[in-house]
Parts: sequence; C-alpha cells; structure tokens
Amino acid sequence: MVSQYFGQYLLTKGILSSKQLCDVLAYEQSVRAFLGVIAIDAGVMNAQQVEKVLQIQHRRDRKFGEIAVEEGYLTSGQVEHLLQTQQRGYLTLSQAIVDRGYLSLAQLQAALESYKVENKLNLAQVGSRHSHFDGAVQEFLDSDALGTNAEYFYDYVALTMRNIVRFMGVDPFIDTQGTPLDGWLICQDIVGEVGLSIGLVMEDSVLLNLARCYSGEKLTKIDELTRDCMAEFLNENSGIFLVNMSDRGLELDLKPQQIRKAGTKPMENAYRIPIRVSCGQLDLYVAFTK
Amino acid sequence: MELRVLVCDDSMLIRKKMKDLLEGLKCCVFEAENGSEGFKMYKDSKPDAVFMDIVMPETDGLEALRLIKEYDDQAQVIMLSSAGTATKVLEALKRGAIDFIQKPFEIEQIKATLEKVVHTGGADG
Repeated sequence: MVSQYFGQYLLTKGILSSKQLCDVLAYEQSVRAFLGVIAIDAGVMNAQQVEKVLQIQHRRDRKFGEIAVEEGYLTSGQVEHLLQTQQRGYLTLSQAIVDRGYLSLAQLQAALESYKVENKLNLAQVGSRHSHFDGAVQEFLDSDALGTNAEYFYDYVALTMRNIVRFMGVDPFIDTQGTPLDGWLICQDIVGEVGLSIGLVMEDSVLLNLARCYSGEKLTKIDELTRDCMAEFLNENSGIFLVNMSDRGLELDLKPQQIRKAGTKPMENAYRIPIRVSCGQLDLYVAFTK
Repeated sequence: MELRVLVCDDSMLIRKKMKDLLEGLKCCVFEAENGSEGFKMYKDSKPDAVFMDIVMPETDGLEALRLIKEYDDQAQVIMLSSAGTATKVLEALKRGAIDFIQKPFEIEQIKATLEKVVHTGGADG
C-alpha cells in the first residue's frame, strides 16, 4: 500500500498537516480507490485525461475504464490490471486525500511524481512497507546521533511501526510535531550484549482503542485486561526483535513488562518517537542501557 | 478432547484467549500467572498438558519447566512464548518441552499440539 510512507512524505514536505493526515487515515478505512487515482499513480493516465473521462462519465452512463479505453487513454489490459490493483485496496490514502478535498487530482499527481522520483520507487516497490518504515525512521533521527547503536534503534522502531500495522490494522506515521504525552507507560527491558529499555506511552482513549484493535476483545474501560493487551503487544514486538537478532547471531533476553503512570518524564536518557495513528498519538521510547 | 490443561502466562489477555479457545475444545482449563504458581498448580491439578510462557515475573517458564519435569518426567509441557530465539528453543527442548510455539500463535498450532499430546498418551484414555 502506498499509504504508509507516502503519508509520511506528505507530512514531511508540508503538503498535508498532521491533522489532515490523521483525518484521511481515518477516512481511508472506509473508501476504495477510484480507478482514475490508481491510473495516475501507475503513470498510465494524467490528471487532465482523468478529468476528461469524468466529464464524459457525467453525460454517459458508462464505466470509467470503458470510456478510458474508448478515448484511447488505456488498453483493456491496463484496465484489467488497474481493477486488480483496486481490489487489492491499493492507493486508498490517495483517494481519501482527494475525497476530503485536501489536494486536487493535479496536486496529487504532482505529489506522487515527486515522491516516486525522490524515493526512486515504482508501483511494485511502493507496496513494500518494510523499506518505507526504515526510511521514515532514518529521516527522523540520523545515525550520527545514535552512534554504534543506530542499527538496533532503526530495527526496533521500524519493526514497531510494521507490527502496529500487522497486529492492530491501523496506519502509523512518525509525527515530528507530536509533543510528549503523559499517560500510561508500558515498558520492558531487553538485556544481553546489547541492552535496550523500551517504553510505550499513551493516554486512556488511545490505549483503549489500540487495545481493542490488538485483542479483538470488547473492551469498554481502562482496566487490568485493557492495560495488559498493550503490555502483550510490547512483549510480542520485543520477542520478534529478539528472534530477528538471534537470526543475526546476537542472543538477547527479555524481562517482564511493567505498567505504571508515565508522569512528565517517563524514561531517562531515552529517544522519544511520536507515532500518530488515526485515533491519536503514542510515544515510543528507546533507551540504550548497554 | 476433554483434556485438563494448565495455562501458565503472566498475560491476562493470553490466559483469556487460551481459556476461550481450550474450553471451546472441551478442555478443562487451569490458570497460573507465573512459574512458581504454575508448578504448584501442576502438583495440585495434574493436568494432561501445560502451555508455558517463558518471560514471567518471579519464576520464569524455563525454570518452571525444569521443576515440573523433575517432579513428573512424563509431563507434557509446550512452551508458548514471544522469545523464540534459537537459544531459548534449544534450552526448552533440552529440558523436556514437547513443542515450542512462537507468539503470536495461530489457533491451528494449539490444536495440532494438543493432538500430539493425545497421541503420545498425555491424556487418560
């Protein structure tokens, strides 16, 4: 899906505000991409051609693809391919941006083109979430600031972003404007040759929402089970990190998670990564203890 | 299946998920929140199978596995943990665990492991 890092790109470039991006991410879940938007992204039609097909469509009761073929903009094979893309749910973020009126088709086309040029991406590569999150994390904090720990920092943060998508089904992005939160702190230590202390901070409403998404349980209030859902998410996330490190020959151990009120300074000497999802913000803290 | 199963995990969510799943399979479920409680419950309830987490407060799952196998070398213990590193899996198998399931788990993995318990005679009858 283009949405993950394209959303981050739009935010970084100031094309969309954080509020607008949250709005389209929330709206995105309810829309399916319009074929014209997919055609623009695939580079097989431009915005003027799409507008022309739409104008014809207003007058004639024909499908978008049929008119585009008739006008010579697309072949029937291209329409078939675009329809498959549409069914796979690609590009709903772009659709949501247009639907919400934040960008016109022409502005979207320009943003997509510059995004692809700057990132040297084609449509197939856009589908890779992995590289997008890695890129976003590296842009957030450069390796000079992290020194020898950079590799572990990037791996952990990008993994967390991917697992928020994987386990909660919501789209996260790094919101550099996000101010520190004071809410619940869920933390866990990773020990061994490399030591990391990980924390997640979120306020009640985000905790409840994400706990529901993660567990599939009908949670209605902040209680032990709700808090435990996010603790288990952190545990599974850190567990996958350990397995990834183990595959690279680095054996690490996990300590049990702890949950407490965060206060104004949740963790000492930790990097804070403000992560925005449609229901609000969570702060990921990463500190190196060894 | 009518097995008696002990779920030892400090996560309330995992215990709830496992209880719902296992009771749906007609198992009788016992719960423990850490390794020492799990060992005590094993002695008290003599379950046919144990699903054991590793990272837990007080006594961890590998130590609880050692205690249970010392007490009953026929114990059918399945490790159910997020910390599925090569070292941990090897250590668990060396200590007598019959399987290691990495979290997040699939329902089918739990069912398949219970079938293994039934076929290796973990359940009476």
